[in-house]
Amino acid sequence: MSTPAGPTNAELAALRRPAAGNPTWRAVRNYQAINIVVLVTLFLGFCTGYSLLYPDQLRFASLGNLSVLSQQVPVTAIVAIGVGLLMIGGEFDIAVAGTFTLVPFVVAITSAGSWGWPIGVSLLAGLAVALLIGLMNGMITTRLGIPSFIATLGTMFFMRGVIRFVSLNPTTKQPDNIAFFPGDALKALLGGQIIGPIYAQMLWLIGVALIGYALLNRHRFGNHLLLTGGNRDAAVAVGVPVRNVKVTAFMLCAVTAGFAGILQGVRINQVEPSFATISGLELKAIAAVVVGGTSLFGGRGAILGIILGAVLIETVDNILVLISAPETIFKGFLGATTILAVILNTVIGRRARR
Amino acid sequence: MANATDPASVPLFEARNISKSYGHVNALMDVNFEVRQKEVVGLLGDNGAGKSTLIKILSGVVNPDTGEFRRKGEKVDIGSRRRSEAAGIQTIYQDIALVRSMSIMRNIYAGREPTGPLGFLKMREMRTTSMQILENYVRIAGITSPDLMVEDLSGGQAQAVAIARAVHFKRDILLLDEPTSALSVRETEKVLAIMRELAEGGVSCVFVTHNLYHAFRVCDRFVVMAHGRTVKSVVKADTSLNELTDLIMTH
Repeated sequence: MSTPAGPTNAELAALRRPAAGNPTWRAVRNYQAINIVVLVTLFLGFCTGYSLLYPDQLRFASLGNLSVLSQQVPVTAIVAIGVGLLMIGGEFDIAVAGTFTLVPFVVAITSAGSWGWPIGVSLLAGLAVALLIGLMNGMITTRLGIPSFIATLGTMFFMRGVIRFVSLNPTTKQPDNIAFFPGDALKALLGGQIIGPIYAQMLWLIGVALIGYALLNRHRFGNHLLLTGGNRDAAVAVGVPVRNVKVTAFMLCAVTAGFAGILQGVRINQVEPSFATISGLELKAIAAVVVGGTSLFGGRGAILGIILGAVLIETVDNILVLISAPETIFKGFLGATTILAVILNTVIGRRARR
Repeated sequence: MANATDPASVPLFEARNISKSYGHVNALMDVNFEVRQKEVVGLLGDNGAGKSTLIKILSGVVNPDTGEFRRKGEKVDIGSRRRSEAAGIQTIYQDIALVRSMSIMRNIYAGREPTGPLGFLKMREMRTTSMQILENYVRIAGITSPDLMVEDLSGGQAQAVAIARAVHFKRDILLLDEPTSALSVRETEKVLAIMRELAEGGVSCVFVTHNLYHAFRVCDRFVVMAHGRTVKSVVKADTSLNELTDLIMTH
């Protein structure tokens, strides 16, 4: 029975969330990229200062090491941008390492030996394979209603199988690296030295970042992606085609992963089956994304934060290599950092509301 | 009452002979409901009276078994959310359909973004128009910028943004389903005031509420429902709070 009378609103007011949150925490939440700018600057500053003071202990600021970083960071950062956009839309792709390996495999195999396709055609074939992988991940997730975490786990193992098959050495019966020499012009374009420790990969990262920013913050697609990840029901109610938005995000993610794989293959002149397995690329990418302030639950994130997250992750990896720390330490660091970043994001969000 | 040929007497929207049953349960039986120009009509009744089924039908979420709809006398189809919106109807739910992690501006334009030829957003146009929307439709203190996040607004401010969004996109019938139930006293006052202003500005409101005091304050007319039927439709001048209370209690 409803009561027509009553000051029920006064009671409800007490339960209602107060309007004014803490403005400081709100600013921290809304401009999370700034936090990571500060963090990365401090960390890089410390490493640089230390290595300049004690060059024998830490060769961080040397020309050689900075060159390595400027070729390695963009690869991870480009993968992370794709993973991050997808995460903003509320989905995960943990098959990126498979895409990262399979796409350059396709380019390397079709452009050499008995295939001998022109490199341009091979690159288009690689792009097509990436789009197909993204479409497959997206369709399994949105049309069959399978959580993307499981769907892409499946496609990851599927791709590992394909990679093992195409990389099988006929004599040893073992997966083997495949040489990748796409010609001097492409090598210069995708991995040439620009000036000092700056390599072409840096420019490609800037290009991908600008496209990512334009899509996310200035394009209708980005608005739909944020709506979909932020509140799926609300997005449906205003007529956003959420399933198509997600499939598109899966395809973008696969294309960035494939492109980053091609950059990597061009740089080291070969494609390795181990890219797909021991590299832990999907973990690196997810760590970079959440360290950069992107919400693990979708609806919130920024390109700048994602890139700086990748810078931080790769620099730590680099420092650990320089001080000859065992590889396992880095994996431990990745896991701990990811969890810490998620906790921080959650705490900041909660404080901002209080 | 004016005669039938007078255009002012044609209701803005009519639902005629609406019936809907779920299995053996008759949720609505031969219900007639109309919304006139520039009015706030209170849809009253106890739980299970059929109010929410009627609202769902009007907003295109549920299709009736029988019945027809007319807008300004002409038959219309409101069989889906899109069609209902095309007929000028917008529903504002209790749990506001806004995305909390996004700015007011991006919420206002959600799903209807103004874009250039390549699909890029017209940011400047979005910003100026959202500021105008906020200034014109909802003068609620505290909303200083369209770039504020919805999660940083109070419940009443968010409700006001949802209303402003609906009004801006040329809907002239607002269905408000318990819009004040989660609001503080002061915010409730503001939402009630907005309804009055909207009605005078040409947007008719259907106000679904349990709170008869609120209904009596803002509504021009009351429709009381019970057991899937409309029990009474009465204008404010011809009734009293006590009579409405009795109507709801006795049926």
